[in-house]
Amino acid sequence: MQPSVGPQALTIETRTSVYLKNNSTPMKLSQAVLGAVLVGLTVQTTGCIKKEDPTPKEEQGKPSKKNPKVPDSCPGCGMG
Amino acid sequence: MRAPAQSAPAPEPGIFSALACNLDANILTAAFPLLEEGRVEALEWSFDTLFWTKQVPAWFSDLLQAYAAQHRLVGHGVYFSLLSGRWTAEQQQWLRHLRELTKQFAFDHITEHFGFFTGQNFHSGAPLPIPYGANTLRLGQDRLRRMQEACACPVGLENLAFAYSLEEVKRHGEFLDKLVEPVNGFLILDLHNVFCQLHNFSVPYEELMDLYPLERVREIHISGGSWEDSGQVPGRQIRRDTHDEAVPEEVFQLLERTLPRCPNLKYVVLEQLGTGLQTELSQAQFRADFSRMQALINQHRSTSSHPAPEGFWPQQLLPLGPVAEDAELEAQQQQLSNILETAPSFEAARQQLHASSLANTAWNIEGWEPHMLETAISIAQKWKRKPV
Repeated sequence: MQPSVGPQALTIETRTSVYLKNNSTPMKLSQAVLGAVLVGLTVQTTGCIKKEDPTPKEEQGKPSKKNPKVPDSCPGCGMG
Repeated sequence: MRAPAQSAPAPEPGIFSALACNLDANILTAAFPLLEEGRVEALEWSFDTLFWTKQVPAWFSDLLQAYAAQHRLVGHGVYFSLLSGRWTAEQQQWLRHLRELTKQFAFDHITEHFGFFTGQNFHSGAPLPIPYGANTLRLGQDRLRRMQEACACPVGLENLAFAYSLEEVKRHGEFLDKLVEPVNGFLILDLHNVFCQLHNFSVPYEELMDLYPLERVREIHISGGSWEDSGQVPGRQIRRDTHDEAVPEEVFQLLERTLPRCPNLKYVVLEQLGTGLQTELSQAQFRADFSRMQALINQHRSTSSHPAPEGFWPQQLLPLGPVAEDAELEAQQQQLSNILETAPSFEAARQQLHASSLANTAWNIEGWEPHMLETAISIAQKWKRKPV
């Protein structure tokens, strides 16, 4: 399940690639770890949201003051 | 339980470009190309958000272990409720869980959020601030010592996005400094939280940053958020830290200005929730945000000398005494939570608060900005546990 990138996405990534330089500190992951992540993603469910939390479907609806267009968030930082 | 990974030699000092990476299909799908290219230099894991599953899947554990083995895994708690007046069985369990996890994963540090949770039950509610007094300082210092005793590594606290008044905004950095001082702790400076405060209280960046102990900043967060119209102040928009949108230009500018001011910085973390990463376009934007963040860090690295940062290790582990509690604070927190969670309107909440035990106390409810009380009601009611 290789994540795919659409044409619009490529535009964004191409635009930002000019910022990249080669003095970072790379973190090489083994093919075994990367492969396992791909397999795991096929059976993965969503974290940081539990059944009782408000979900995008419950609150999103039609964009308005009472139904903001944004999905819900984790409460951690205090203004989510 | 899986054995801790063999530790590798500590990497060279520097600033790592990191991702907040939880067990979330959307986040991992968005991040996968970056992981594959080796560009994610560190991971931050919110270890206490996995309450919906009993065990961390082996493949996710292996990913975390790969970073831990390179001293590049940090833990970020959400639900400890550091400044609750009452000490609960859930907090004790949270510490037990942390102690077990640190046997499994070699975290480079552990952090939590400032504030107390409005909810009566664990994993419900949202964190809100408390008065900056001697009693709350004692409480927070005691809880941080317990965190440090449990994880046996550096501990830190994140600045809160929410505040009721400008005075509170201006005192937040100093109070955080006092809280972490006994454990030689550090701060996460969340720049989107700073952005919220700059906007919501019309305070200049320089003025606010001068009030923060920036030498204690070991980690910076950047993220996106959202705007909400104020019902109390027509025409006014409130900036909220909802972590669901791309990083705004203003936050990148804050990052560029803040990097040179934090001599002990080690991690810069891009945070976005999986709920905001459901489309290919949003996932590509997430990677673009990471690239821009990394470019700013690399630019900073190339133009500044960066000596080995402070490790923020405890100077000495002090013996733990009885758990600090504050019954009066607990009663006030319960009253406040109840009012915010159940008030049918802003005016009803305001009247109930002025008739409560919080009136004419260190809470200074008389000085709370109407648009921020309105926001507190909105946050508390959003995250209130729904009846089963």
